[in-house]
Amino acid sequence: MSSGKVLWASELCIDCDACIKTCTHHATPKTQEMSAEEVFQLVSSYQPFIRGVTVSGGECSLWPEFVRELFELCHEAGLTTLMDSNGMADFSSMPELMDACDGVMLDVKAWDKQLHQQLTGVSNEQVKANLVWLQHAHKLEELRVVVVEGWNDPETIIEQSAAALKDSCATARIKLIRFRNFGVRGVLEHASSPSDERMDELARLARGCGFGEVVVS
Amino acid sequence: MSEFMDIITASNLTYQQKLIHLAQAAENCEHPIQTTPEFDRFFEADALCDMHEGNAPYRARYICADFERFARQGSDFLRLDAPDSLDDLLVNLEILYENIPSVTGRPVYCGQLDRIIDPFITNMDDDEVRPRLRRFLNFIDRTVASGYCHANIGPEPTRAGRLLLEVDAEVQNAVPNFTLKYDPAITDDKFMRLALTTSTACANPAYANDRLLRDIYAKPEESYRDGYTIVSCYNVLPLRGGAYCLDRVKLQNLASMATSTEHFLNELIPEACGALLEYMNARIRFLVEESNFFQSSFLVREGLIERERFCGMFGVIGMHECVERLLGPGHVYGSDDEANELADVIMQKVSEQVNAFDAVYSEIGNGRFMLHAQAGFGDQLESTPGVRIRVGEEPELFFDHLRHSARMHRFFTAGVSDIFPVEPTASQNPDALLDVVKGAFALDDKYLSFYASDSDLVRITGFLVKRSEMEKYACGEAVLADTSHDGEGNWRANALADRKVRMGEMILA
Repeated sequence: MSSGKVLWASELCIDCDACIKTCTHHATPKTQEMSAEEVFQLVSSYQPFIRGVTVSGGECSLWPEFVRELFELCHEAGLTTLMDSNGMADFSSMPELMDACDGVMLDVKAWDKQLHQQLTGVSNEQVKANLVWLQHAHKLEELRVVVVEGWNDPETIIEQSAAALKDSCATARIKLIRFRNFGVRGVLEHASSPSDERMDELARLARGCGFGEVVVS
Repeated sequence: MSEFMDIITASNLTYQQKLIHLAQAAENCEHPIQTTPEFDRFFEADALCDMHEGNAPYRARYICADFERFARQGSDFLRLDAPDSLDDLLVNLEILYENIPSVTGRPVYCGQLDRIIDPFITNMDDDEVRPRLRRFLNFIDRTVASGYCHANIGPEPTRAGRLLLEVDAEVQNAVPNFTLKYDPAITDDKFMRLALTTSTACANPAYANDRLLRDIYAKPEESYRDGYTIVSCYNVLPLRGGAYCLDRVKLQNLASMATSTEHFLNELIPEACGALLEYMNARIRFLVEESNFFQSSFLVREGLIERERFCGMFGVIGMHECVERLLGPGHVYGSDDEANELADVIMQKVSEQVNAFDAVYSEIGNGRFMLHAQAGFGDQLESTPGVRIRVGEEPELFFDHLRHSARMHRFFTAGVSDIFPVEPTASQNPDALLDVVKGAFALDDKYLSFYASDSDLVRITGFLVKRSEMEKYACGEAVLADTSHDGEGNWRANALADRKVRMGEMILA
């Protein structure tokens, strides 16, 4: 640790993950600065075995310029481009990024405003606005709901997002993701995974609400 | 005890297996094929190998009968009318299978089943077809009972093809193997997803790069879609024909005779390959001119096979160990540039020589033998199949492995292949496997197969066996399929359980 940061030396690293445990934010210090062009070179070394790239995070929408540049290079090479985002940024205000992006996998953590505030420290008004805007712009790749028993409100997310999407719900895909504590640290370290029955019940609800495609993982 | 009495009194062979072994032992009492001193020298050093095909070939090694023609015309010899219902078709096929020989005594090809069956199910619904296909596949599994037997489907997605895949996943049989001829321009992704999910459920089908293979052999008739079949351990052979023989150079043992890489390339390769090529001509002459196989077979008389559509397969095996011996420690074939480059040079040398040699009775190959990356059998030690990378030394990245495969596949016309166990979770994401197949085939990889790492059905050199059956045989019990014998030894000798399991990292990402 040096001035609040974990120091990492690649030549000494044995991948023991002690750095992540040491960090007060449980973040990895194993990062490196790369230009969009450099990342693209790495991506193209995987061609022709991939059909596209998905940028996740952290939160990729915090780096709109970088992501746009990378996506434009990918598009030129015939690769599709997706973002995996928590939806905190206003996508409607980033037309150039959205032009280069084929779709967003939007993570909705909770529907209830207070619950969302409690879980993440911020309100979810922007997430809800993004949901509708992305769907109408044909950029909603999928709506993702991580089901954590006792922590969030998957029923409400399913029902209310269907209501918000109205008729266009029939062309939307919802992915219900079972929480797994593998690799999780902090308050959810020992939280259990929802049962098969619970996931089936939520899938039935999503189908009943009119989602075009329901995926459980 | 004599070799014959050993067979007669064996406690771990079935009656049928004893018959085959006794016939082989009897055949080997004769020595009608003259060999040259040069051949004998390499044969004694185990650098050349006749695959124990027998001293006096009296049937072609592999027969790829034209079952589509059989379905149109029936058979005079077997007194079968052309079928006009699915039931008649399937019984006719079952009867014909019983009358097709091969080097193992059992047919290695049971037809392009989707194309043959599809016209007979147009007026039936799925629930009527399914139980019939289930019985048919079980019949093949229990009577042909050889993991070398192969069915083909594709590249067109058909209803019969879909039903065969669905039923195959249910029955979990080792026989027949299925190969899907795949061309992304013809086979749609939906059909491929079903096929790949089936592969993770029952190790079938495997995938052949139709774009690269469909023009290797002329079509038997203008109206046919293609003229090739995939049979046995991924041999690519002419439809309505087959292979006279398969003989091989064991590169690892030839390398052991070398004093230097130059000696190996400039003297041993030309001498050994030359001796094998002459030997193959001699075997084929005996089969064609003296054994009366083609003269007496009703398959020829009824146009289900044509002598002119047979070829000889020139095999190579043990590239991994060969390169290791020539270069010494530190050069790992698969991930070391120098090792890969040497393998490339060796194959160029071998293929130039094979492609310049006048092969007898080889009209379908334009007067040439066809190169085959032979995948081995039985419990052979220290020889990795064909040009594959040895188990335990596979490149860390799956894509690097596939790039290496594609590079080496380009030399082979009569079959070359790889086998990849994948994480059981891959069944949840057939799209990821589809990307692998598409990427590999775009790079000119010719053949891929997968099985789930926890599957009871596993691939040995290419043929399929049930782990549970191998275990029974290892305990001294007789088992139905004699490929369980070959599989059991090979599985242990080559540590096949340790094959690098793929798709784990990609699925988690």
